[in-house]
Amino acid sequence: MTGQAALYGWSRKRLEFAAMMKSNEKNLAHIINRMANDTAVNAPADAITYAKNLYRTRSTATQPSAFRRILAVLQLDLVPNKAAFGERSVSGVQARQLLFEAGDNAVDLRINTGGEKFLIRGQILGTGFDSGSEAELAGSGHKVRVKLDTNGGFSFAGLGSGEYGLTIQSTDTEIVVEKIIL
Amino acid sequence: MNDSASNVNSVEFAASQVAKDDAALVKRCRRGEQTAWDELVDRYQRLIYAIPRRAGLSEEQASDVFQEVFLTLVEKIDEIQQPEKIRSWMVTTAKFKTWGLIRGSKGFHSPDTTEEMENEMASIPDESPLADDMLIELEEQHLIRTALKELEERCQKILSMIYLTDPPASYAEVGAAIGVGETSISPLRSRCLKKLEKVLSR
Repeated sequence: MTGQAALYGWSRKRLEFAAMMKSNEKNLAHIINRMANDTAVNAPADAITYAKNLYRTRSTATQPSAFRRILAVLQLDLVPNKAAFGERSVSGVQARQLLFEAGDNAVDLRINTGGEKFLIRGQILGTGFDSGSEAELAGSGHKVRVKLDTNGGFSFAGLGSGEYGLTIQSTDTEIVVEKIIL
Repeated sequence: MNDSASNVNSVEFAASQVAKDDAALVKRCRRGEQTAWDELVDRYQRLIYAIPRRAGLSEEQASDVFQEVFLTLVEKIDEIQQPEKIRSWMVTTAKFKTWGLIRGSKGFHSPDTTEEMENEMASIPDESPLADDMLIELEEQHLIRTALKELEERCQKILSMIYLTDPPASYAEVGAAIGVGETSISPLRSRCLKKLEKVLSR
């Protein structure tokens, strides 16, 4: 680097530094000006309390209630033309009947065959499931969702053979029946 | 102390760190953290209350605007698309509600939609109570106060006593408050101002 170039570089840096200082001074003057003119006051304490409480109301309103998921347990499986344990002879029932226990509720399922297709009719017994509740059957490439009737009843028709899972859902409880094999 | 408007508006704060902090607060609010909401209210209460007051509304009317802004925020907090711009959102909301109250009190029709309100706001002359310069000033004062809280306690005290109290404290009073000699205050003040500027430029 020649002496002239070095001098030029030094002068340029000095100019840049001076410009930076000027800029900083301007910034500082601006900050000082803003602070000196800051006459804003705190909002009234009761207004602040009100604002903070707004969120408490929201938190309470949107907090989800505890949702129960109950796995149904098979209690009874009556197959047509086959004597159940303790029965002397076969019953005249043509549909396979399955009874599941699910907490305070029970699920009664009847399975009929109509040719190669199956029909599942069911009913949820007990309280907590009204006509707005839903039942969903999923499996073997099917997923069907229906609303319960006023008696807690539901049905799924035209089902092929395979393994299915049934879910019955109210606003706060879900009952799951696993492995229904048709 | 009065600078000309052109001089005042020629400096802009980056304040990207403040915006990031705001965004983090909004996200925590969405997760249901009451402490985050409390912090957001504490952070913005002065700015939001200042807008209707500076527009000439009474303390009672300003409290109404203040409460409405936070009520709207609590209702919309999950829908705000750019949480880092919550400051602009709140200032705009406070501006609209203030303007609505002013128009209502004068017996004028209050615009029904945001678009209608924006059109009316755009037609307000600069010397109106809610001119942009005034809002920029309030927002910058808010940013400075927020940045000030990030400095160490001694700097907060020095700058607050010198610049944020009325009348300003003397160097002797500041020195007595922080336990140093009066002659040390001037260099300390300069250093604290530079630190404040650094926070504002982040």
